[in-house]
Amino acid sequence: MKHILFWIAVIFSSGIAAVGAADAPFALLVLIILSALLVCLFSLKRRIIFGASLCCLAFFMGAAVYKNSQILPPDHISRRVFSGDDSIYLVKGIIAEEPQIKSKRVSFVLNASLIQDEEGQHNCSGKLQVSVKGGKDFYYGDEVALRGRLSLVSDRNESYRRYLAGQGVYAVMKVELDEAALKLGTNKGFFLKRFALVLKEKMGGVIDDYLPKISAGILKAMVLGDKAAVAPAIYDSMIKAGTVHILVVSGFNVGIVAFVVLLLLRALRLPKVLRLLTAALCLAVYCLATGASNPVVRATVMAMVFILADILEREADIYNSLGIAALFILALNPAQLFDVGFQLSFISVLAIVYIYPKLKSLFRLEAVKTRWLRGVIEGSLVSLAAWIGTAGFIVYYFRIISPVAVLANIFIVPLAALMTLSGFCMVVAAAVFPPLAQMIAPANELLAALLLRINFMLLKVPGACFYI
Amino acid sequence: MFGLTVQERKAVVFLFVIALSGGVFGFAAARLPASRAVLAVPDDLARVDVNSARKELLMRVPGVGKGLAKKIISYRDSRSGLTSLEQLRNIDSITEARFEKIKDYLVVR
Repeated sequence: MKHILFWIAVIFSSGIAAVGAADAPFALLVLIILSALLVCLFSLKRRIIFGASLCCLAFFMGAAVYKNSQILPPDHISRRVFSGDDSIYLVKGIIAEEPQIKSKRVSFVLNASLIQDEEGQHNCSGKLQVSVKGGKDFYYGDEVALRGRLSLVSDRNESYRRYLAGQGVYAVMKVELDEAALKLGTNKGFFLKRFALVLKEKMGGVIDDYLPKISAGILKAMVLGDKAAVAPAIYDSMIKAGTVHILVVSGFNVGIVAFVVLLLLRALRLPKVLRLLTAALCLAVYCLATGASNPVVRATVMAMVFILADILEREADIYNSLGIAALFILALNPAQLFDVGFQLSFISVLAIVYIYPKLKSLFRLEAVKTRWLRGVIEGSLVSLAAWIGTAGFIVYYFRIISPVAVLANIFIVPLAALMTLSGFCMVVAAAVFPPLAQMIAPANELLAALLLRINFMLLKVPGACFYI
Repeated sequence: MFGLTVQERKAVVFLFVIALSGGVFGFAAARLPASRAVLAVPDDLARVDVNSARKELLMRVPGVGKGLAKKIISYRDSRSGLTSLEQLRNIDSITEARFEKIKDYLVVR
């Protein structure tokens, strides 16, 4: 069977979706899995029976993994909170994600370890979405004690509730007084992630030092996955033009990091395997630094598959690498299947990989002899393939249709690629030779100006986009 | 060239091109203020257009909540669009202090 890991990922996802739609007892799922595994073991030489039982195994594994993720442990913090509860609680835990500052409040996800209520102190587990008033210096890995109101995620905002549930968060905490949030310790999180976030902060600082606010915000989104700095009007215009994907760290960025690292290591004359393993480590750090969102995790896992294939001197299959990336993400957090970012990330790559070759043969590109013209048409067909694949999802989730998207992406994607490349060059140069970074910065500013002007100009085209 | 592959040579050439063009643009922006109109990002692109923004976008402006966003939309629709930001002062929820807070995030196109 061709692309076997891709199909296993599809079947695994179907199992998740099936349990998401219709509940099933966990014990029954485990029983079916064990039975399918036994059939697999006893039918190794019988292709059809083995294939069928493998499909069954993948399907029910997906269902079981999802079902298991929905079962909260007895000491989960959300079990101590009740709907409409207005009590003050004391909660202790470790900050699990990079804190975000917005409107004079700091928000972060907390891995809770202790809760104190009217009944006394109890050990607990689980994640909490916390919002603290004031500009506290909180960082990933800090151990904190918080006093505030705890509540279950409100049913009124169903999409937000589902989004938080996808992150494993079922309760929220609001801390109103500055004194009610205390830092008890630091550096308690995963050391590699701490390093990655420190690196991200330094890179963000470099971008802010060398570029004005608007272009710095765009570059930080492209290079560091920090969309908070992008002006809302710009973000909104890119959603309308169908070009907002350039503000998401994904395969292109991962490719640049891999290329730059390999280039530098090659200059140091390191052996091939060591170069590739170092590149893989750098990609993991970059993935953590940019928030480990679904697109960047997908791209990182796919890149690692290609690196491994290179080390083993095998040819990597893009469908199988896509399947491995999906299985990796869903095995860790099966609820991500229902996340719009996950769906769009995988569907867009799949659409490009599957539809683009068909468009290429349909338009008979081999007949175009002029190299630059063929390049422009190829770029347009990639955009068209991605648009075809994602249009349905975008209409469903965002209720927007952007006919101008294909045209916009022909101009915007190359400019964004150039800006990402020169942005990385500027950041690296700032660490190695700052005068070079100062020279590169105006080029980034010009690229940002061109990108935004073209984006806004195309939105003025009649029928560029409309909401339904 | 120095044992580099074709891809790596392209990378080195790219670095030189981007540094050189950045140097030229930076020089032009510093010596010819008029060139900044082309070379720099116009501030108003980052501002929310009061005449076309949906409620959700207006709510992302610091100081504009759900109620005020609805009032702004209702006011602009009743006048078939605004011609100046100053007209927002006519909305009862927009005090002088609030207007000063929000005006730098808004534009009328």
